[in-house]
Amino acid sequence: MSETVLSCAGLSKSYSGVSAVRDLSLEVSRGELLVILGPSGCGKTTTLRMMAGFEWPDAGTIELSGRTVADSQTFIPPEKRKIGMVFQEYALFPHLNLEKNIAYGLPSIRKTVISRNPNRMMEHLRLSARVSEVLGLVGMNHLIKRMPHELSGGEQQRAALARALAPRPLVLLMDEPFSNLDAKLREQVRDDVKRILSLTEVTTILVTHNQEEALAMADRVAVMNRGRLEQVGTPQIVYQRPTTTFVANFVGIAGFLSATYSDGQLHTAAGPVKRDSPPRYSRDLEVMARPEDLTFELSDEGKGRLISSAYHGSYTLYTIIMDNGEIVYCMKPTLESYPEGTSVQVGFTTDRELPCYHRGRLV
Amino acid sequence: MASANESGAGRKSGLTRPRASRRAGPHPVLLGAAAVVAVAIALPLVYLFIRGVGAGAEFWELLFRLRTLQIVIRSALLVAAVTGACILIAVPLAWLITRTDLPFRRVWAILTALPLVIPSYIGAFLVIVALGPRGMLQRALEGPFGIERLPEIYGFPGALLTLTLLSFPYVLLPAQAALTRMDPSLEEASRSLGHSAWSTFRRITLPLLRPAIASGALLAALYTLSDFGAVSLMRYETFTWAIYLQYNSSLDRILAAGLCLVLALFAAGILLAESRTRTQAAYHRSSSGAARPAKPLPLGHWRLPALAFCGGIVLFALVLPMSVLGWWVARGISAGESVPDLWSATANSVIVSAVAVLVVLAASLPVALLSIRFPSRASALLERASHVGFALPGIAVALSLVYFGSQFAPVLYQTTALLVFAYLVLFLPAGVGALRTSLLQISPRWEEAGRSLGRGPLAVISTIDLPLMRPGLIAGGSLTFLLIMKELPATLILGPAGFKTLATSVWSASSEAFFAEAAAHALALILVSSVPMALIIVRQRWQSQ
Repeated sequence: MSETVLSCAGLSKSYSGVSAVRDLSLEVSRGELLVILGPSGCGKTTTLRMMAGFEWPDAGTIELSGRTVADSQTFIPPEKRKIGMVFQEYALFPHLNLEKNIAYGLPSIRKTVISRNPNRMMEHLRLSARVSEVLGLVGMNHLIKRMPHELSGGEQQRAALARALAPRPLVLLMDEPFSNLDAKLREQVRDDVKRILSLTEVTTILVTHNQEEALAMADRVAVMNRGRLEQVGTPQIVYQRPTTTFVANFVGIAGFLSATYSDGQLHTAAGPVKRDSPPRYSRDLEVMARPEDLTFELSDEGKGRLISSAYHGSYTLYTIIMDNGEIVYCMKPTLESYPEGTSVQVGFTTDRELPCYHRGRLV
Repeated sequence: MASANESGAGRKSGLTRPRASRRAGPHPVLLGAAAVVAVAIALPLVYLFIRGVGAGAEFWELLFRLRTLQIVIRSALLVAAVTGACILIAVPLAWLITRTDLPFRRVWAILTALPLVIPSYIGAFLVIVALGPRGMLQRALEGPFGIERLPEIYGFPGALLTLTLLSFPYVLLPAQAALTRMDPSLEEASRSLGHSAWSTFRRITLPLLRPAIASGALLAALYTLSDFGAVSLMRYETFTWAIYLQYNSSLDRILAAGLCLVLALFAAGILLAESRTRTQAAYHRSSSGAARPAKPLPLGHWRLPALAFCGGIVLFALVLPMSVLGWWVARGISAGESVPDLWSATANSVIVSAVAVLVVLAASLPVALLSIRFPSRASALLERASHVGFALPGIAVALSLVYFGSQFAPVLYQTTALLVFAYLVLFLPAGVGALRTSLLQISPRWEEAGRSLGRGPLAVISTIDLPLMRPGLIAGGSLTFLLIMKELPATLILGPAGFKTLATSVWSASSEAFFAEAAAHALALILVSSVPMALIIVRQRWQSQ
């Protein structure tokens, strides 16, 4: 990839003995949108706040554009890091109107618009040009004199983004930026933000607990669990080849089938799966199947039984319990309905290799 | 702060230094200011302690004298009686104003808070003028009924009456606020479970009100204990008056300092008792969402008695005192009596109070910021120490500063600077309280947003925190101004020779029975104090809408 803008190495942070982030290393390239995904309490927000300079790492280093901003000797305060931050609650200053909120991070100048000093005039023009430029970017130039409480939730979100972008930060940090919006608005705002970010080509790190959001927006996803990075990769890789069963379960829906290997195949209760190289272990193997990897047919001799179905309109998601007690999920177009308790024969829809795990790790 | 885990992390690699220098610590300017405030507020208490205990045997002998015991008993009796009477008046009043269909509820809400403006020495002076021997009531009754003597008003009854009528708003205001905030669904749940209105009040409302009543009662109790004006005019020898007599009549400073110390211990005991009554239960609203106002309870036949109750309180606590005051002023004017020093006393009061308010607010800011933004054992201790003035009565602070000033700082002794310093110690709790409340409403995210946009810690305080705290600064400033205007003992003792304020003029004129002169100064004092009081009331009304 291209030039690294932000890199963390061996970051650790604990609060009164409880470890929040453990030995985390991560690199972000110029113009990239990296999403840190994880359940609540996994340390993702702490990681973001250490990058911003609001938290002090116990160990490890953070570099921004080749400059060390935090290690065992140095600590650069947030105001000197050239980062932009969008807060979960937006944190628009309630006593300043939209224009003044945006201008807050720009070099301050005297309030007088008309000045004999031509340099000062130029500075002022440059400042107001930048304010209207970023407001234009988020489509809010007509709201320039509004106070924050007079803006809708979506507008406040975009205003917070514009304010963070105005000083042209090296990195934009976004902490759960969509969690305060209702579901319908969220998708709209998400698309807007993605468009604005790609227009400005700003390097962005976004933190979320919403896997759908992560897959839809990210260039790369970093999945965190209990203070550690579990996997970093493109959305496709993270979804299709999760490196741990935690990632498999957290990103999308996953069913697991115990398997044994022989003759270039893994044998499961739902049939064989292709496997080119023999796995390192021969026991305790599990194959992960996404709902779209499986299908079923009605069969009285089948090894599975439908235990529930969730109707999603164009498709239906079925939960199936196998004779050996394993639970798998299967997605089918809604053409006919099957009652619960129906006996079924489960089979694979794909002949590509599926990920296989030994004690929670990909093998 | 969290240095334990910091140094633990530093030790891990063996090479890195402990990271004390990299702490998230507050800005040095903030720390320095807080340290200055901490030393200042500790000064009087430490000095009293050294003087009292340092005197050795003499001090202990004083502690166990019969007269000390009498003073303790008198003070305790008065504090208990006034506090109890305040609760009895304030709780029904608060309930009537907030929860029933009492006519003119808003008017009652304002009128019942107003007695706070009347200082205790003015209240006592008016009670004496009206009910004392050869007072207005006796003379009115003498003609038609030939009554020559009324029951004695001096002493305990007069002090109780005066202090109750002036300090019940201390209980009323928190009780009223708690009733307004209380989630009405709790009471509705009780009614739906088969309890009557009375049983619901007794089993749900009253227990939920307990913290508010306790905090109000604490204020009333401390106010009574530290009051000097009413007890001295009523000649009821509690701590404050005994200390003043001791200070004025003899040069034996150890005795006065010793009594001050016992008084401070007494106040600390009240504070401790109040904190013991707090229970572990959480009293906040159990559900989120906007507060829904409770449906007012129809009073029915009880409407007239309720009106009479409210009217009676307002009559005795506000209308009668003001009328008596007005009558004396009018009489003085019609008799052509001159009121010496009225303008200079007013100017002195306003100027010294305004300067002291600015000093108090400036000192409160670092304390409030540290205790909220940088919670640690040290900052919590600082915040608690700022309450010294709350427990230390004005006369104790004044005496310790007199001794301290005459011995160690003769340059400051007998100057207004020392007086302003006393005000700072006494009224810092009011300033810190107001600033803490408004700072708690400022999300730290705003400060972080400011930092992430390139502004340093001090710039963030001045561009974000201070503008957002403006309503709190105005409210806290108004309250402090009001309190300083009314303050008597410290002003009396520490004021430079010949320095007269409205408070000291009222006190000296009324203790020498120059009633018209006292009334004129008292009216001026009340009028000036009403300005900040009106500001506070208007702001509260505006907020509640």
